[in-house]
Amino acid sequence: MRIYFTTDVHGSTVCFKKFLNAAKFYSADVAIVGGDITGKLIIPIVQQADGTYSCKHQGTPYALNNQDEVGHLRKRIEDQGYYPYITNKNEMEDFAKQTSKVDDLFTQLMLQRVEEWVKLADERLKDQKVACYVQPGNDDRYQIDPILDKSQRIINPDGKVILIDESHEMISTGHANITPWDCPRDEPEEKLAEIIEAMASKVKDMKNCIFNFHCPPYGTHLDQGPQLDENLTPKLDAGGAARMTSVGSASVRNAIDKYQPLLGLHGHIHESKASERLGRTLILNPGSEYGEGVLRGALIDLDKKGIQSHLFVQG
Amino acid sequence: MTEQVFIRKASGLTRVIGPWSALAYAFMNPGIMYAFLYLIWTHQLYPGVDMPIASAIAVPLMFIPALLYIWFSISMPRSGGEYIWGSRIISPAWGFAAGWSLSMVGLSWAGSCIYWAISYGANMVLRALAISQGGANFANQPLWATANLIDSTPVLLPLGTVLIISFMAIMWRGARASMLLAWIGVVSGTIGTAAFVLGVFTGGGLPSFITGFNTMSGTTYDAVLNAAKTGGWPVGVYSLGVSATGGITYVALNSLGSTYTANIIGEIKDVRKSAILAMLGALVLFFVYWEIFYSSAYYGFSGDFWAAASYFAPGGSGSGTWNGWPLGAVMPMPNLMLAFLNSNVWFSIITSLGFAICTYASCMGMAFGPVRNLFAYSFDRVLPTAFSSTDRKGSPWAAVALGAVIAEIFFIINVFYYTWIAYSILAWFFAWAIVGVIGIIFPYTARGKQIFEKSPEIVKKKVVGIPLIAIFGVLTFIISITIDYYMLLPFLQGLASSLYIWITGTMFIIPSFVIYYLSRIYHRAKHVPMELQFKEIPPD
Repeated sequence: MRIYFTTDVHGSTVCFKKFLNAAKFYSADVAIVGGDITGKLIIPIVQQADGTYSCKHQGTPYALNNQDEVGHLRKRIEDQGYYPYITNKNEMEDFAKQTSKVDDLFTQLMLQRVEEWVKLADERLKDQKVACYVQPGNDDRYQIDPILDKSQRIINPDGKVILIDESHEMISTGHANITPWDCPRDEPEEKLAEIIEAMASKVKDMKNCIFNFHCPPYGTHLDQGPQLDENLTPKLDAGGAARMTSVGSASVRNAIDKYQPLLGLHGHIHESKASERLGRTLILNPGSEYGEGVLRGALIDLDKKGIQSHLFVQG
Repeated sequence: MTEQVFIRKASGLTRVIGPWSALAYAFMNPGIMYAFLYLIWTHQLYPGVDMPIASAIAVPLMFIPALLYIWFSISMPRSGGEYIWGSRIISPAWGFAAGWSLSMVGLSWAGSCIYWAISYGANMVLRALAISQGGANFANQPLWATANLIDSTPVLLPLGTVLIISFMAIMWRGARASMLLAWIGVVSGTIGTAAFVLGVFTGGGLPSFITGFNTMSGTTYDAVLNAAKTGGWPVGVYSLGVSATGGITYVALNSLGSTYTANIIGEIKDVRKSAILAMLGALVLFFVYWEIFYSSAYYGFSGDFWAAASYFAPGGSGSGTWNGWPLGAVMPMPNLMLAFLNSNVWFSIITSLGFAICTYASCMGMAFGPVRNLFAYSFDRVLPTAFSSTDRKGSPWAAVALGAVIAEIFFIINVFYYTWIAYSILAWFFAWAIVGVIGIIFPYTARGKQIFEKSPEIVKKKVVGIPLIAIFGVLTFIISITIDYYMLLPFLQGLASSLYIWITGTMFIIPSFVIYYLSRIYHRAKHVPMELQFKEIPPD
């Protein structure tokens, strides 16, 4: 069996489209998204009094004269994982006055995109044999779960024990330990440990089990993030290098140390592409490059004896 | 109002290095005091060179490859540099060839320059003291004999090995310790250069040097110049063309490493501003340092003297041909010659110590990026996976150990063939020629076009319908092959042994393709095929 694993696509439509083609492209039997599927930014495209549009994206101001230009920019913004939003000056003033409206808009746009993706997945995977698992991550709001659950081809594995072939079970969670950003699925370590334990206790054959946990285990190469001060500003060393520290989950680490599953699939820390052995368990984080439209992933070949090989890919 | 962007609280925003820190990183990697040695080498291989002019011509020229690196960094703002660009736009084999060549050059310099730190830096302290104490009898002083002993192979080999192990141990300890050493190197280099300049000017410049040299060297300034002329060496002849060619090889060589910033661009925030400031700003700083140094060296000793001294120096065409040359097999480093110019020997001592420490730190700096690359290649299965092993603290000990072994091999080679290292630059510019080709085809190939079209507007800028990045690519390619041509010129003219070319080719360039394809064949037979690694999945 070949697994294709990717993670942290963060709203990038082009990355999600690539994911839908990945199983066929890599001859994989199982395709998994490990969490964090929604975007982080809304880019307003503001209609002007003369009918043109203006927008500032990645530091570049755009003056758009017609719908073609607007459409072109919209697609680029979507591919980079952001949400383009056509609006006008009056509405922008409303957003400035009522920040809750911005939050509502985020929810609306996120749900809309996830719905579009699910629809696309159902169409594209209709005649494919691939098993497709897409789980939310700690950055994803709970409102997206019912949309994923409605899909005919996508399975949301979060919180479940799933037999992905005749000999390999997979348990999954998109929750993470508490981050400085207070994300929707951040949980205290104790709660995260309970979530994992509830699934792990039901696994029949732990030596062939896969832990699909969005958050990487603490104290590994998969979980290296910058140390932050009280203002959430990274601490730097002489020469400007970031002072890195482990930001992963102790509960995830404890579970892997305790149960020693076959494989750990993780994401969450985009710059921490790494693979490592914790005892007999191979743990992987392919990292993420969604903003550039590059789908980072890992291919893992498994058989009854265990892991035959793995390879990081950039599709 | 139209400029507003809405951001929600979300994890994963981890770009941490700011523009000024990126500039510091770019400036720290090349050894800023290598210029002291290049003053001799350039005169040896490019007779007729004028170094202040060479520097003024060469540094601005280096802006072009820097711009290509900046454009790529903005387009693909993730760590990895040439290896990633080449792998994505041409093929993994070419990406690996570019990355491997640059990594091997870095490691070779890390090993070889340890020799410089000892012989041309620390040991010059003893020699300057011998000159100060013994005057014309300096060669019979115990300190001079001690320096000769340190320069001998039985002492140099173990001493250099210990130093290589020591800076690799600092790297193994982690990025913090490495960065601290790099900063110490910059400070030492600055103090050393300042001491040299002050020593020249407070000592009285050329008249004082001539007096001191005539008194303490056992020969005279005029005798050295005349002997070189008698040997057929052009002294007092300067050429703008030669200055340009000498400059674009050796001054350019001294700026290499400033583009290492591209390899850590994934950790840098405000990529556009940071990349421009770091890679162009570092070149401007180098220009200031070197113009001050070369001008001071010419003011204090004269270009004629450097031309003549280089002729008799180790590696020079006239080495060993004139018994009157007072330094024998000792390199006439500017930090040593300062002892003849200024009676206060501390200027020479501080300059030499600055050279030694700065060069030692630069050895670590030159190895830091390549060791990270070895780790990454192992991670990507191109090198055996054993080299991505880490210790309990998470340090990539196996890649550090491999880097140390490679550096040690080059150090040993350098002990016996001490000028061959200069020709490793062939491999560097071979790699830059590949990067130039990547830039040229980037906007036009099917794969490159997809990335190009998604790039920020600045990357897509065109001049007369041609993308700027392609123009930078063409110019970088031309500059690179031109420098490689000029590097080959001494071989064609019989001024250097062709053995050096074979060493460069077989150790730097050819193995990259052999390693990549062997690895590919092995993985195709037993594992997930490596050729899948950088293949782009069609989105539609």
